[in-house]
Amino acid sequence: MLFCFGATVALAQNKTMTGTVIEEGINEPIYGANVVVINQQNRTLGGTITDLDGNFVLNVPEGKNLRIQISFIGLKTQTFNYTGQSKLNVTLSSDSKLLSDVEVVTKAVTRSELGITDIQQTSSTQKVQMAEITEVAPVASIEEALQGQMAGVDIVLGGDPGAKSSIRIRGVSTLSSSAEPLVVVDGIPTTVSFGDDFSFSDANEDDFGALLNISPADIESIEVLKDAAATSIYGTAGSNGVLLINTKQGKTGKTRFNFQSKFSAKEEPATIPLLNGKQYISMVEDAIWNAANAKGLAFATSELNLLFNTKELLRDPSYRYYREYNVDTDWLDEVRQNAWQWDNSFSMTGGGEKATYRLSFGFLDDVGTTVGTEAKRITAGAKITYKFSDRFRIYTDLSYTDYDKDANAVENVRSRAQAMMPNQSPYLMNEDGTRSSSYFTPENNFQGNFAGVSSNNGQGNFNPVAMANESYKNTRERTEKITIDWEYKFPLKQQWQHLTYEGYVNMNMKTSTSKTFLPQVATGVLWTNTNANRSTEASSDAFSLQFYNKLLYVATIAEKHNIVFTAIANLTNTHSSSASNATYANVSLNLSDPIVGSIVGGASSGDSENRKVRFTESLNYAYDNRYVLSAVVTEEGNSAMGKNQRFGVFPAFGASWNLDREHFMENQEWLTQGKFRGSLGWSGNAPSSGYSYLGAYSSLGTYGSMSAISPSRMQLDKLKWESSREWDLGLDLRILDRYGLTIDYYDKYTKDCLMEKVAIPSTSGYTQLKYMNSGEMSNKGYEIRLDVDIFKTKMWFAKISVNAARNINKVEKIPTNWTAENYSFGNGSYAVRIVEGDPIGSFYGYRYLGVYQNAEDTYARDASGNVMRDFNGDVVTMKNGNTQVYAGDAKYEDINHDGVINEQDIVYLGNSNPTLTGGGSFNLKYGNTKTSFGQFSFTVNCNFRIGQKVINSARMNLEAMYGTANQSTAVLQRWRKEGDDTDIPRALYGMGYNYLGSDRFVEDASYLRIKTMSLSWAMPKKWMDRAGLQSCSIFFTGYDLFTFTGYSGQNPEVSLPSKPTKLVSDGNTTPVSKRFACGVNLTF
Amino acid sequence: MKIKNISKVTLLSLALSLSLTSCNDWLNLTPDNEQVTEDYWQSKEDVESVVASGYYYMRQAVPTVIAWGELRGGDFYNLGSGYDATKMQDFDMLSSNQLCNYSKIYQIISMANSVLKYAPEVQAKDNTYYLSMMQSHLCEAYFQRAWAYSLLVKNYKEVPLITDAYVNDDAEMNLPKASESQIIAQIKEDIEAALATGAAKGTYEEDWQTKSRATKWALYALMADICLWNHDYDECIAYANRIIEASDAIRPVFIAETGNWYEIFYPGLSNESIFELYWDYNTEGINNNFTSMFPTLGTTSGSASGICNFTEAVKEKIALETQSVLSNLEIPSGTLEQRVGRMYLTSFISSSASWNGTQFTPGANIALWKYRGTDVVDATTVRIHNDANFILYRVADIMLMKAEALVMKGQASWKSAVAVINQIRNRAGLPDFVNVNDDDALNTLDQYTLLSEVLDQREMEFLGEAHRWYDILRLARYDASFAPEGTVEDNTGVSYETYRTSGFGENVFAYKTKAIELIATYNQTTSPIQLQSVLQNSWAWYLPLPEDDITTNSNLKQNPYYE
Repeated sequence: MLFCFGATVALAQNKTMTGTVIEEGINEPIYGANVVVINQQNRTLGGTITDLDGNFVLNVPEGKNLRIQISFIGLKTQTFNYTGQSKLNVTLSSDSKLLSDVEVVTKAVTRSELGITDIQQTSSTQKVQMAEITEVAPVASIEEALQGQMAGVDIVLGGDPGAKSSIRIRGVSTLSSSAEPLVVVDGIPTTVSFGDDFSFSDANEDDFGALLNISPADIESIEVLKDAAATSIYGTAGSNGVLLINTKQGKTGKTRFNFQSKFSAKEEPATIPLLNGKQYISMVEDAIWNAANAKGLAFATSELNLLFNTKELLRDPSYRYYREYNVDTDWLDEVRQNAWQWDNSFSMTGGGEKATYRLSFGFLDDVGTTVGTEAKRITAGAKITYKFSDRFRIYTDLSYTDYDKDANAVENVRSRAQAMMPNQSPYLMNEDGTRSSSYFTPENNFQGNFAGVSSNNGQGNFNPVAMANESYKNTRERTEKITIDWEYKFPLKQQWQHLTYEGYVNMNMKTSTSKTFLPQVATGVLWTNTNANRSTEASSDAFSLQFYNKLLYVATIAEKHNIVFTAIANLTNTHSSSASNATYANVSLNLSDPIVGSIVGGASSGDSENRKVRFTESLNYAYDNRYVLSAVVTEEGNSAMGKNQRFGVFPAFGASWNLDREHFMENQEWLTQGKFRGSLGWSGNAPSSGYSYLGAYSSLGTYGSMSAISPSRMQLDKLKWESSREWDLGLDLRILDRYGLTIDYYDKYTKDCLMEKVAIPSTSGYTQLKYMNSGEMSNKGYEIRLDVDIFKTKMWFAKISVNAARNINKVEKIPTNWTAENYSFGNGSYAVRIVEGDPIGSFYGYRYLGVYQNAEDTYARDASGNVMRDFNGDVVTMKNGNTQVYAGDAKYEDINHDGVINEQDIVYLGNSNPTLTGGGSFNLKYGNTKTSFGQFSFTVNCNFRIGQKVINSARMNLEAMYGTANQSTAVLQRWRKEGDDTDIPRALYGMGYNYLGSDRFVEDASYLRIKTMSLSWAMPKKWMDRAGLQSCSIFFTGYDLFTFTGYSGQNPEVSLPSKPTKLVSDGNTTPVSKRFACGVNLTF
Repeated sequence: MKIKNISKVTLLSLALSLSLTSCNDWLNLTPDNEQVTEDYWQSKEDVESVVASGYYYMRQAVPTVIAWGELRGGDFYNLGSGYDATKMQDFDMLSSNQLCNYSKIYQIISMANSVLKYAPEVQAKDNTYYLSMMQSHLCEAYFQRAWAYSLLVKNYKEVPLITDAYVNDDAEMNLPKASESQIIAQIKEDIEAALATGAAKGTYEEDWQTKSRATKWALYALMADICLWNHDYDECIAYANRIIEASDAIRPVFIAETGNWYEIFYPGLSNESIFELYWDYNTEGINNNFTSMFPTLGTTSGSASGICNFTEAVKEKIALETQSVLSNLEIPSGTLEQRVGRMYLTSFISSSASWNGTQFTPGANIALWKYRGTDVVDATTVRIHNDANFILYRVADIMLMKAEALVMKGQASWKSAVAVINQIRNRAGLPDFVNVNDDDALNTLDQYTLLSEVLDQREMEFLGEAHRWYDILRLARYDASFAPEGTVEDNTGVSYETYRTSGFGENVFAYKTKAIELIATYNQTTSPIQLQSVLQNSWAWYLPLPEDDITTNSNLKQNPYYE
C-alpha cells in the first residue's frame, strides 16, 4: 500500500537517482540491498532493491528534508541527506558494532505499563532475569524457575508431569476465592480460567496443567508485583499479586539461531518401607483377633468367619488361587519407573530498521515416575514488529501450544499400590511359579471390590499395576494466542513532551479434550457394572477476548518536574463451555471411543461467561527524580456483580524518596542507590462466575401432569466487592555497588470476604446464598532480600543472594453463618475451624498421649487425677467416643476430664502457614570467553519453608491397622502386650478409635532443599569463531539433590489445597524426583 | 499548547467515565441454562408451575409427615438403623436430629408466598389470565400455606411466621418465632381469604386434580382440623357439616359399604377422598418410598428395614378388633379368605392366622397393606409400582373430627357424636358403640369414655395415615375446665403443668396423665418411667427447632424444653 503510494508520487514528479552498493572488504556488489527514501519521521516514502550487480534506480518523490537509507541484513545501515543528487555509490561495512548498539538500546529507560521508570517507582516489585536461571539450569516450567527466587513468593511444585503448582504471594487473603496470582504475559493478563459454573464432570483444575504452557526458553524476565499499589494497574484481577512475564522479542541485526537441548534423568526418593506378605498376614490376623476379643467371641461371628474362612490369608495349597496369594509383591515398585525428560528449543531472531521478528519452536517430553504418566508440549510462536515510521508501529504475536498429557484413569494408583495385600500377585501365576502375562484382578477378595470413581480417585479395591499399564486419561490441550498491538506517538512540538496512544486486541483460545478409559482388567468388575471398560470423553472450549486502549502523556517541565499521566480502558470477555459423555461395556481397549454399541453411562455439559470493564487513570509526579508522588485510580465493572454494586473504585497512592539523588549525596561514592518508598492501595475481588448474583428458577419435575418450576437460587442484591487495603513500606539500598538490600513491610486487611454457599435460615425456603460478604482477615509480614557480589575480578566473579519472607495471617472476624466446621467424630478426621485471632489453615484435633498399657491405665481420672467412679462405686473406664478402651488402645488427652474422648476434647494443634519461606542462590564464575579455556560457572539454588505443619495422612493410612490395607514396617513396633514401649496402638480390625485426628499425625514439615546445583562451561571465543558460532555452553545440573528435613513423609513439599479452608494434608502424591541433567546451548 | 493537551486528556477520560452507563448494559449477562428471576412471572403458565411446585414439595414432605405423625404415637416404631427415628419415638431429640428439620415444609410456604405475591402482577400482564383463574391459583396457594403452617404449629407450637415471598437477600431472614395463636389466626385468615374469593373449585377438569389439588372441600377439611386443634368446636362442626351435608353433584361422600372400603387406597382418588398427594408411576416415573418405610410383608418385625414397624400393642389391638368383627359378622369357621372389615384389609394377616368360629388366633407377620396391595384377596396382588397416593383428608376423618368436637361440647351433643361413631364402626363391621336410641346407656357415658372411643376409631381407621400422634396430643391438650368434675385425675397428687392457651388463661390439662399413659403403653423402645418424666414438661410434646436454623438465625430462640 505504502509502496504504491510512493510509486504514484514518484511517477508524478519523475525524479530518479541511480547508484551501486558494494560490501566493504570483499568489494563485491550486494544483491538485494534495500534502498529507500525516508522523511523526517523515518517513514518510508518509496524504495527499491539492488540487482545482481548491486545497481539500483530509485524514484524520489517531492519533499523537504528527505533522506536516502541503504541497508542490508548483517551490514551497517547508512543514511544520506537527499540534496537532489542523481547518483549515489555506497559501500556498506560489517555491523560488528551492532551488538554493542543493541546493548546501548537496552540500557535505555524502560517504562512500566504506566509509563513509569524504575526510579519513579513507589511500590514493591522484584524482577528476575530468566537468563540468569535458565542458562545454567534449564527448567521445565516457570514455577520451577521461580521457586526460592523471590521474597514473599511461595511456590509448591507437584511431582507428576504437568501437575499444577500452587503459588501464593504474601499469603492467603481470601476465604473462598482462588488465592492464585494473576499472570501477565507481555502486558496481557491471561484470562482463560474456568468459572464456578463450570461443570466438567470428569476433570479437575489440575488437568489443565501448568497454567501457562510457555516454554521457559522463550522468557526474558519475570517480575513480581506484590503490593496493592503496584498491582492496581491490572485491576482487581491482581489482588493476589501479579507475575509479569516478558518473553523474548525480535532484535535488529543479523539473523541469529539459538538452539538449546537438555536431557535429564529422574530418580525418585526412597519410598516408605511396607510390610511383606508374611508380616501383612500376621498383622491382619492379629487385628481381627483383637477385634473378635473386644466384641466377645460370642458376638464376633463375622470376625471369626473372616479369620478362618478367608482363603486369601490361609496358606491352603488346595485353594485355586494359592499361588496368586502366596508371593511377596512390592506393589509400589511395580507402578514406578525410572523416567527422563527431554527439552529442546529453537529460535531465530533478526530484523532490520523497519521490521524485527522472532520465531521460536520448542518440544518437551517429560516422562513421569509413575507408569503411564507423560507430558509432551510443542510450542511455536512468531512475533513481528513493523515500524511504519518513528511514530507508528504495529506488533503482532502469534503463539500456539499443544500440550498432551497422559495419566492414569484414576489418580490414586500409588496409594492403592501401597494399600495392596503384599501376598497377592498382580499377575496370574504359571504352574512353575513364574508370572504369566494376564493380570490377576479378582472381582472381590479380602480387600473388597471396586466401588467406582469419585473425585478422580478409584474407590475400593483394584489392581494398580493393571491400572497403571492399561488405563489412561489423555488430556490434549491446544492454546492459540493472537495479539495485534499498535502504537502511535502524537506529533507534539516540544522535545520533552510525549503523547502516545497504544492499543491491542488479544484473543486467546483454549481447547481441551480428554479421553479416559477404565479397563475391566484393572477393576475386575462384572461386565454389567457401569465401570466395566468405561470410557469417558470430555471436551472444553474457552475463548477470551481483550480490547485495550491506553493514552500515555509524559512531560518534563523546567527540567526538574516530571509528569506521567496514563489512562487505560480495557474490556474483557471470556466464555467457556464444556461437554462430556461416558459409555461402558465397551468391547475392548481398541474400541474405547464412546461409540454406538456400548451403553451410555452419562452425559453432561456446562457453559459460563464473564465480562469485565476497567478504567485506570494514573498520575505520577517526580521532582528532580528525588521526590516521587503517584496516584492510581481504577474503576472496574464485572458481570458477576449485582447491578447495585457492579462497579468498584479502587484507588492507590505512593511516594518515594531517592536519597542517592540528593545534592548533599552527590560526592558520596558509597551509596549507589538509596530509595525509601511507601504505598497504600485498595483492591477487590469479585466472584469468578458470570452471573452468580442472579436469582434463578429451575425445573423441579412434575406433579401429575403439571410441570413444577421453583426458585433454585436467591437473587443477590447486597453482593459487594470483597475489598482489601494494603500498605507497604520499603527500602532499596545498593552500597559500594556491591551490596544490595531490599526490605519491605506490608499490612493487608481484607474485609467483606466473599463467602461461597452461605447457609441461611431454612424458613426462607432456601438453604443457602450463593455468595455473601462476611468476615475480615489480615496478612502482615516482612520480606528481605540481600545480594552480595563477593568478589569481582577479571577472572573471578562470585555472587550470593538470599531472600526470606514472613507472613502472619489472622482471621480478624469470623464470617456470620460460618458452617465450614463440619466435623463428625471418627478416625482420621480433623475439625476445620475458623477462629478469630488464629490463622487460616489451622489444625484442630486431639492430643495423643501414646498407648494404654494396662487396665488400670484405662481408668478415667478427674482433673485432680483421682479415679472416677459411677453411682454404684464402680470404676469408670475411659471411652474413645462410644467405645470403651482396653490396654493397647490409643490414649488421648481428656481435656474436660469427663472420661469420654469426644468433640469437647479437641484442641488447637498448629497450622499450615510457614513462619518463614525463602531461598538463596550462589554463583561462582571463573574466566571468560576471551581466555583460551572459556568460562566455568557454578551455581547453587535452594529454597526453604520453615515452621509449617501438615497432616501426614499417608503415614496415618500406613499405621492405622484398622482395615485391610497394607501398612508400613513401623507397625511391627505395635503394642502387643503390657510393657511394650511403643506409641503405636494395637492392631484392631474395623473397630475402635485408634487413629482419631490427633497431633500424632500433625508433623512439622520444615525443609531446606538444594533445588539445583549446576556446573556450566562456555566455549572460548576463539573456538567459537572457528566453528562459526556466536556462543556455546554446556552444562550439568542436579535437581533436588539434597533435602534437609525432619519430616517423616516422602516429601515435605506438600501441595496446598485449592480452597484456603481445606486442610493441608500429605496424601503421598508423587514426590519431586532427583534429576540429573546435561544440555547444550548454541547460538549461531 | 501544553494546557490544551492536558485538557484533551481530561476530556477523553471524562468521556470514558461517561461511557460507564453503556457498559452496564454490556455487563448484563444471563445464563443459558437457567430461568432468571427477573424474567419469570410473565404468564399464567409461570404461576401454574409454581403452584405445582407447592404440591411437589408437599409430596416430598410425606416421609417427614409420616414420621412426625406416627413415631411418637406408638402404633409404629423404628427398630434398626434409623438413629434419628429411634430418638424421636423415645422423646429423646436433640436439635441436630434430622427429623426436626422443617426446611421442606418451609419450601411449600415459600412457593405459596411467591404465588400470592406474583399472581396478581402476572394477571395485569397476561391478557389470557382471567381473574377467576388467578383467584383459583390463590386459593391453592392459601391452602398450601395454611396446611404447611397447620403441620408446623402442631409439631413445633411456635415457629417463624413468614407470609412474604423472599425475592432477594435484602429481605430480613432472621425472623423470631410467632406464637401459637398468631399462627392459628394466620391459618384461619388464609382459609377464609381463599373461601371469600368464591373461586375455590369444587372439581377440576381431570379426576386426579379434583382429589389432588386444593378444592373448597380441602379448605373446609383443613379448617375443621385446625378449629378442633384450637378448641373452636362450633366452628369445627360447622365446617365439617359443609362437607358432610353438602349437596353438590360432585362432592366427597362417605363410602358406607364395608366391601368397598379398600377403594379408598386402591385405585385411589375415591369418592371418600378430599385431598390426597398424587403419585403415578406411569406418567411421572416416580415412586414414593412407602414400601421402604413400612416393612415388607413376610419379614419378621425384628429384621424389618422400614422405620414403621407395628408395635406389639397395636398388633394386639388389631387382633382384638378382628375377633370382634368376625364374631359380629358371624363369619363361618376357617374361612379367613372372606376378607371384610378394615382390619383384614388394612393389615394383611398371614396365612398362619386362624378362625375357628369363636376364637381368632393372629399370625406372626402382619404388615400395613394400604399402600401396597391392589386388592384384598391375597398377599400376592401387590401394586406394580410403589405409587400409592397419600391421603391428607377423607370424609371419615371429617366425621370423626365432628364427633370429637361434639363430645367436647358437652353432654347435650353426645347423642349426635355416638351416631357418627356408630357409622364408622358399622362400616368396619363392628356393632354399634351404644345404641343411639338407648337413652339409659347414653346417660352412663362420660366424656373420657367417648373421647377414647373416638380415639380408638381414629387409630384403627387411619392406621399409617399419620394422624395418631396428633390425636393423642389433642387429648393431652384438652383443658380441665371442660372436663366434668371428678374426672380430672391430675388432682390426685400429681403436680400440675400450667399451660397458657390462647385466650383461655392458665388452665390445667384434663387428660394429660391419660395421654402420657397411652404413650407409655404403646412405646416399646424406652422405659415408661423415662417417658413419664419427660412428658410432664408439655414442651417435650413438641419438636426442637432445627440446629441449623438456630445457628444461622440469630433471632430464633429454641423451644424451652430443648434449650
